[in-house]
Amino acid sequence: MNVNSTVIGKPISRVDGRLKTTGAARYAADHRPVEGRPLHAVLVKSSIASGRITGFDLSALQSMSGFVRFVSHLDGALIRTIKNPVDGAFAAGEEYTPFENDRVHFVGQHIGLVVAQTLEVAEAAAKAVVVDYETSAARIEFADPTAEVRQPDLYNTGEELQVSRGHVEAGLVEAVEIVKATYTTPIEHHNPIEPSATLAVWDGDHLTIYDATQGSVNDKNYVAFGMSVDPKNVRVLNPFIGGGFGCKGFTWPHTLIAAAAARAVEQPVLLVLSRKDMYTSCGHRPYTEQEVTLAADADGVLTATRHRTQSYRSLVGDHVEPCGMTTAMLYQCDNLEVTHSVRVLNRPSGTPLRSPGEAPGTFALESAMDELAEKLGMDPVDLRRRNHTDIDQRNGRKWSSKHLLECYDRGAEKIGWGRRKAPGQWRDGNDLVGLGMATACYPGYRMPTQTRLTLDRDGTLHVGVAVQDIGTGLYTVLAQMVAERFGTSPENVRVLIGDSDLPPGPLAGGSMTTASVAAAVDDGCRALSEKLRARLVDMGHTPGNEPLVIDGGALRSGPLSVPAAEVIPTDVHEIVAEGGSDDTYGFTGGVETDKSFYSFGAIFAEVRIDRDFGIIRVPKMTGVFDVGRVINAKTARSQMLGGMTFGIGMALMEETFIDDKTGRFVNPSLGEYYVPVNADVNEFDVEMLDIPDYDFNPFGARGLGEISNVGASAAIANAVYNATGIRVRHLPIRLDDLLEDLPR
Amino acid sequence: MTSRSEIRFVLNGQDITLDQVAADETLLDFLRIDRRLTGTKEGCAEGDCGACTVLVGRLQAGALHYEPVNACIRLLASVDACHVVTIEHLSGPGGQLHPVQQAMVDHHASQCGFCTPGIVMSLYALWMENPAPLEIEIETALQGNLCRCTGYEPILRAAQAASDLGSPTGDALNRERNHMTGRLKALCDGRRVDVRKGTSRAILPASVDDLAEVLLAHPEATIVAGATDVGLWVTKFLQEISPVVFLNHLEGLRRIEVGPDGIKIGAGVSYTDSRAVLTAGYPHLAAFWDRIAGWQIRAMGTVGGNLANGSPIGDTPPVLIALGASLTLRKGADRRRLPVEDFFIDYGKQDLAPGEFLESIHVPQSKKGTRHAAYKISKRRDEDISAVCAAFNLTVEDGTITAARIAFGGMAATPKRAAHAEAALIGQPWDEATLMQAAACLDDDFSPLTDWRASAAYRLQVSKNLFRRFWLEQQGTGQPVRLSA
Repeated sequence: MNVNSTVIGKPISRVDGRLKTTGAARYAADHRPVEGRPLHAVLVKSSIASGRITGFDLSALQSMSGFVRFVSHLDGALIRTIKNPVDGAFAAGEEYTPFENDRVHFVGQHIGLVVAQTLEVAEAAAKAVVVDYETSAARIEFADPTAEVRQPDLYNTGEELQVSRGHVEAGLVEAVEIVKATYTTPIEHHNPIEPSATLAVWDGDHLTIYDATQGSVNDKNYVAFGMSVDPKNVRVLNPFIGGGFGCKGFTWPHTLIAAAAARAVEQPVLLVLSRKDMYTSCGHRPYTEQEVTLAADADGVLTATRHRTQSYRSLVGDHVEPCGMTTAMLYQCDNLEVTHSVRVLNRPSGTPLRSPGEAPGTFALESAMDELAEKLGMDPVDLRRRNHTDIDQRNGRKWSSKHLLECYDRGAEKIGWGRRKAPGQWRDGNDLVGLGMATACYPGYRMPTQTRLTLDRDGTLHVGVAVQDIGTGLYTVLAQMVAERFGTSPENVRVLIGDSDLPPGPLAGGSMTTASVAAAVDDGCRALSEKLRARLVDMGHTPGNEPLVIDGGALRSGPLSVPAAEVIPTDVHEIVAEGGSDDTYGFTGGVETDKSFYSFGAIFAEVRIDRDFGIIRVPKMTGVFDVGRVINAKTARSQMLGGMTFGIGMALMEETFIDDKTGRFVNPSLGEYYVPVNADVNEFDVEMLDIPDYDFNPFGARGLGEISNVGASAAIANAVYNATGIRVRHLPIRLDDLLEDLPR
Repeated sequence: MTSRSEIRFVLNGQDITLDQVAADETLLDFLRIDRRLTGTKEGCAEGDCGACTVLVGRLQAGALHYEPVNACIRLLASVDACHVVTIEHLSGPGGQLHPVQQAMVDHHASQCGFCTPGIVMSLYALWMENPAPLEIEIETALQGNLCRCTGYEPILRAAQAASDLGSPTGDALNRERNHMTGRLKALCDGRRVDVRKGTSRAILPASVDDLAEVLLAHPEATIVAGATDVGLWVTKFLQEISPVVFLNHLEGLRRIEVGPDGIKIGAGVSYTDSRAVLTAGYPHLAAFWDRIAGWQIRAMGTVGGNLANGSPIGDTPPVLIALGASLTLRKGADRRRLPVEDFFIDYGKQDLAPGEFLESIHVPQSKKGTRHAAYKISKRRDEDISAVCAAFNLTVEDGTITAARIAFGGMAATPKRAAHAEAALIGQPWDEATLMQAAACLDDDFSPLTDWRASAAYRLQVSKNLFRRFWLEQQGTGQPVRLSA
């Protein structure tokens, strides 16, 4: 690694900026088949929470000009039955096959699809479908005593969900102070600004799909399985995705339904989900109830930790919100118990949402730490230092690179932690002011990835890999990585991603893409370099040991300089090399190593609360992060700003309400589900320690998409406590939570 | 004069004539599906996210004026005689990036990019009007755009930097302004437009008198001004709205007249266009007005529509009631006038007969000795509906309160005056004790509901606290003590 790189770590503007600012970047719903017009499709969704469909009355549809077809479970085997949600080759959001049978498991389940010549007719026809149901008893309410309760062993990463070590009861006896409290977090929705969309185009038994997906390879394998075709015959294109945050991660039924409908009508079909569809079609973060017990001796050393998470799952989706995984790892504590249970309810399926588990889990854990500090009369930062550890508490391994203490120091200094006063004591005019903090952390994950590196006769490098840029900046980051390896500028690198026909890479989730492609690009560049050196030797040159530089249309090595056009034979146009890595890190069953990989950080928040109205504002947040090497200062910082904004939303406004009687989501819109607007966001101060983690990959980067959202809600809630003396143990903190008890 | 059965407008540089337009067809579907102008995005279909922002230019008193609008809820037929400008029209010759676009790239103001075209269009509209904006002006321009990725700060920096990269003088829309004005004038032929598609029908009356006539003939028609509410009936609820009668193209309803009796605001005047005249007389309304929805909605939506749709949580009714405003309702040639508070009969029920329409709003001139305030309490700072909305108008003479008009939204089934509180003020000394006594009377005035925005107890307590806030503000400059940023 060139420590004085002119490329890595620099604030290079995103290479796709022009396409995005001119509207020329095409997202799934913007595409059209190469030939002809697509038919438009609209979903028909169940309006009951439990039961079966006894029939469809389509009489109103037949007379509609432009109506083409209605497909449902009555069409027979349109889709091959998918038994297992994770078939090895793919991960689906739900473990059921759309249109498999007449069963209804939740309100909003896809039970049919209308296909029509125009969108207008498709919408009218979908509205005109009359569904007859036989309703059965639904379990919707979280506390429904008849709901089945399960205690799953593993999260989808293979990590343990039920953890026990030492003796919690003994640790409680040792303690001088104990905090035991229950914290709740609401149903939340991802709400990327782009709704999911699928354009499915068949050509014989070949299928091309333009899909708003965070994982083209996963999508391809899922659809190929459901359509009973060879995965080689399915191509998924997703060059641009309008955000995802998890809801486009695993593949959801609508993609398969669009593909099945297109085959059934023998024409391309375009299915664009409405904002309301998004609330029941592609997951949400489920509500959680977390009981946390923290016990400490007089010095603040933790003697016992217990974190019990109760959440729910749908009948057909197995997502568990893994809130306690952080607790099992983070602080030194020999007596610990972490449990997770889920109730099986007639609600739509959950799925990972930016930092699943960590975001709601740290709200509970880090709020409890704040409560413990208060009880002990300790500074909250000091309490965390006291329990800091350089050993992964789950397995006794050392961290590959952990600089959390430095994050605490820098963050405290930047926010002006010394200004902090006792709860309720800081007044400024009509405002109560407070400071709070929390620890942030997120696992380092890495998945097998392959790349194709190409040099053309112009001397331009091309890198291809089936990963996707959901807004993170991957196009730019890949160009920088290749440029670094060949001593050139990112402008000389063309990046090909968003196409499942490219060498396979992971889905954009778990903050793992950068680390995964880093290893693959490194190996691909090595392979290309070797090929080029061999070619130079064949040509009679003697390249030295100096790194191969490809710049200005020529290959250079030491004093040697040969134009690319000469190196590449005229009959081949380009030289291609493939490389990659089969290694997995962070997931169970990965590479055997004596180290653990995690990113860490510290988040500090200042809040001001209007005494007359209880309105909370966050004038300043500081985040200091230890996320390995930063590849691009601009794209990385922007990820952090966005994540901290997510944290403000989670702390103060985001919440989906469910009607316990009907099982309907009450506020499925951007008007009534509040994501932060510009005016809700004020000063953010972001710093990254930028310490490379070469144990993790050759570029030293860990992921950073999720961590900035972790801890943010706890930091804000802790600041609210510091400002008011009122401890709010649920999210979001509502307008009416504080007013009554505010200090006058 | 015969009516015209087609709509005509200019899209970017191209003349468009459509003889088949359904009443509920949106501008966005036309752009994206019919014209394949896919730079304009659909994120929510209800005017919240701003990803579909385009500019619509219209002649107003002979001058061409552009405004940012949400194409998702803008009904297509209403762009007759307008110039519609989309993101595709922005780049310079040879594909050179527009200064706003270049600044967005330089400052990393685009991440996933889906909200980006809408944000570029909002900032473009701002840059044309105000190339060197203050931060607060940028924030006001961005109120109607949601971004889920960037945390907004890079977008603000881009907006600040845009003018360093180019001045609006040389911008294409300005260079072609005279030419486009001529093209649009040629489209304004003074005829009624009556356009159909199948059984669906949209009418753009030729004049206010013609509107009265059309409504007498079609009392069942849906009256549409800015479509910021009706647009949602279409996109969210798939309601049948035909026949639709549009009114905000009518110059006769877009007029603002200031006379000795006060301000007369036509029913087609947008929030944006009414701001200057209202805040001239009532400076306290400036900050309040800027918290109504976002820029696009304020540019489209009308004060008349906000009253006529009768929502108990509309932003303007409490303000207008407190100011003592009245309405002119018209049916055929008959007009009647009534105080704004009397217009609201019950939840969803207004004093409006079939075939009748709201023609104008009358706001009295500001009187000496009056003290005013208007408040919007909402969870989200912008683009939110009030949990509580309140407006105060007290007359103080020689230290005694001689008149009081206090109105609340969000506290009852209709926007409503606080009669008991007002009575407790009149004749009493202008001091904090009087105000706090009046505040206590709100228990007799309101029994608010609990909903997911706020609890009944919160609404009542905040309403009382507003009396205290009002008193505190009046001790200083008379300007609102702003809620913390």
